Amino acid sequence: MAALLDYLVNRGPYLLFVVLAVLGVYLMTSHRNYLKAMVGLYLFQASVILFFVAIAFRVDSSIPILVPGRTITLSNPLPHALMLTAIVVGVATLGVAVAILRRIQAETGSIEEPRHEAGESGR
Amino acid sequence: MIQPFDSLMLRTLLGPSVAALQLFALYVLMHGHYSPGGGFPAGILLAASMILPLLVKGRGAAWRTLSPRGAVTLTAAGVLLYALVGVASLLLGGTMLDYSWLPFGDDVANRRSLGILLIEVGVTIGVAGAMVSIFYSLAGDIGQEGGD
Amino acid sequence: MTSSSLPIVLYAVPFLAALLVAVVGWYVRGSARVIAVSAMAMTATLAAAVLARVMTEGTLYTPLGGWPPPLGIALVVDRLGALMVVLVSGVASLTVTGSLRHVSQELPGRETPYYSCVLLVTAGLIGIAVTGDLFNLFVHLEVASLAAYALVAAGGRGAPRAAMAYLIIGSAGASLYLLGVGFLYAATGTLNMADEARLVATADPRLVMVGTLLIVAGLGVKMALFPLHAWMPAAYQLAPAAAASFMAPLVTKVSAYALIRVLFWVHGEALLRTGGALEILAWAGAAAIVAGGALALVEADLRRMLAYSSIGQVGVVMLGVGLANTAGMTGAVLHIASDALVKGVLFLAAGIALLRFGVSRVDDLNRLRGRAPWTGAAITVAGLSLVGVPPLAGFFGKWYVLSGALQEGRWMFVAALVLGGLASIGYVFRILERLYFAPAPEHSPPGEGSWLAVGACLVLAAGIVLLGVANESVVSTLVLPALPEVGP
Repeated sequence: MAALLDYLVNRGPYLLFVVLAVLGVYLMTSHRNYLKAMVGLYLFQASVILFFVAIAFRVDSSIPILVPGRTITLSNPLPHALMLTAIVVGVATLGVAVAILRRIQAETGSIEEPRHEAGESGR
Repeated sequence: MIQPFDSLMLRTLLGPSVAALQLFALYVLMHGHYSPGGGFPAGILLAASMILPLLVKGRGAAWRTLSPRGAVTLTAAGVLLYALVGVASLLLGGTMLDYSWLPFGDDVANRRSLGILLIEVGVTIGVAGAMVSIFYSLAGDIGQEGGD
Repeated sequence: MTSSSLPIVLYAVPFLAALLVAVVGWYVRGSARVIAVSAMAMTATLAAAVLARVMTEGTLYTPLGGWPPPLGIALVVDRLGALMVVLVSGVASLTVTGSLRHVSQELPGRETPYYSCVLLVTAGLIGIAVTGDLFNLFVHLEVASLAAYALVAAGGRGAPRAAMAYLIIGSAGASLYLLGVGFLYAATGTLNMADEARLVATADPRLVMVGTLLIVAGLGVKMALFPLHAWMPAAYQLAPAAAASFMAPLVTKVSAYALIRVLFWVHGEALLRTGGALEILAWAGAAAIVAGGALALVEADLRRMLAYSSIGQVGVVMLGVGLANTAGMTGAVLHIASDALVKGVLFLAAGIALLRFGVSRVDDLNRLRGRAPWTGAAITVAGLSLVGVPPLAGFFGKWYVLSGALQEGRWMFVAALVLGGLASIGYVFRILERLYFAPAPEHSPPGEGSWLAVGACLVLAAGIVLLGVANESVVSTLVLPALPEVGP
């Protein structure tokens, strides 16, 4: 029991990352509704962001802001900065997806993938 | 089409909310050096302050609103500000985005700090324009002016 | 202009032009296309200057923001990067100039956002070619991809759905790449490519292996490597003709280059062989050659067939990369260049055929017979290069990869290349047969189509011939010094 708790405390974020990533992939692939697929995509991206933030943590560290006179260990700020960029990229992707979704709805009246093949084979 | 969701409470709260949002956006932008914040959340707050009147009063109401094309132009203008600051430092002698060559401030650290502030302003404007433009595209208003 | 600022100016020109188009394009009529064409021309000139500098001075290096590595983001342009930049800007300028008329025909009133997206894709691709930082690569990849999704969605019926599929799969791929970079960062603590190369040999091998495989998967999605290719046929079939002619030659090739850069400059060949990434790439490449060729053979729609052909050609490149000997790598790089030129011609010609003659199926190509001699000539040159007829450029790429496979004694790969070659003979000769030997219909519009488009096709076709004829000097002066250090 103690080993399990210890594992959850130290490795918990990574476990969560795996769970979220798998959930995201499931959402992306199993639903015909494009909006749900988009949510799954964003969930997958969020899990990657969580992974980066998790590797930035150092034992007994605090937020990475320099205050004169403070000597505590700081967690690594670089992944945080990278993930700001990644979050913005994710939001921009969602924005483009939303615009495309509007187009799909205007053209076909629904936001689901059609029952048969989505691409036209021209045969 | 954006339908107004009008009610007395919302109409009353709209003014103070928008003012508070914009002030807070400015605060978050300026204080990004010393606390979590900076250009991105400031831009989103600014966008929220522009979207809220649209939701409450609908388009074409008394409040002047950003047209869909204006939103896209604003986005590009914000990013252009960022890029031009970078180009300015290139032209003034350093490499791109090397703020220590900008012509104000006393020492290098100060110049870099001011340079970062300038680009964060650009980021704020860009993000605000982008969020409003996404909102318009979600609400289906983009097609009205023939732009995409 | 100093050598250290040349790469960043090269990136800044299309990027600033994209923003300028978005700010000014709606308010000044016709300014979008003027800015786009002049920015493309400027970029092509700067790219040539970069290549000249790199040939004389060696690797160009720009520490962005003045921060020295490994603190800051660095731009590194070596010979291979300079080659890619020249290729991207050259093909992009030609296809954009050639499709000016197509854009005003297919997307009237939407030129401003179109040209803004086109310039953003160009900027992103150039950014990928010049960057020396793993995360910066991700950012440029996503900039280019987001604009590409928008370009695909601008097409007609069914295009938004194809764009949505492209978006979901492409963004998932980019996230996989990011995750791979995360694993590499966790293993080595740095994102700078050169620094990473130094540290990766002593890092935890499990982290490095997982990171590498994730990066391979992510970039494999972006370059439509079999079996991650599902987004490509519909996207290039349904995109606007002008957008397809601009994106199809370049986007997948630059992603292939990015994979070469990350695999060989960051990891190095010795490390890769123990990890197994090269084997996977070689087998995926071989499967892509066979599958792409077979699917192209039975396809009736012209642009869809060209998309499957592209999948096959990316397979050839990846097979060369997976073999990782000098011949294989030479073939891969040459094939990237030759296929970019070939697909530029073919997609541009498909645009002419679609917009002038209403041709969307291969069988309808007979409408061009007798009416479009120059376009037909360009298609013939490109088609023969695709088959691999010497002395055209396409022959040499496949030949080097083939000799690389023979050198290693990998008979399955040789068989795959031969099968792919047979399939390409099949579908190219289908095109040529409909173009030259099928009876022409009675009513055809006069004239050949926009002279800009035909002219661009001819210039690209001349490039194919030139690359083929001058092949030996190209290989010895440009390609061989550009390769990473690989085996015999």
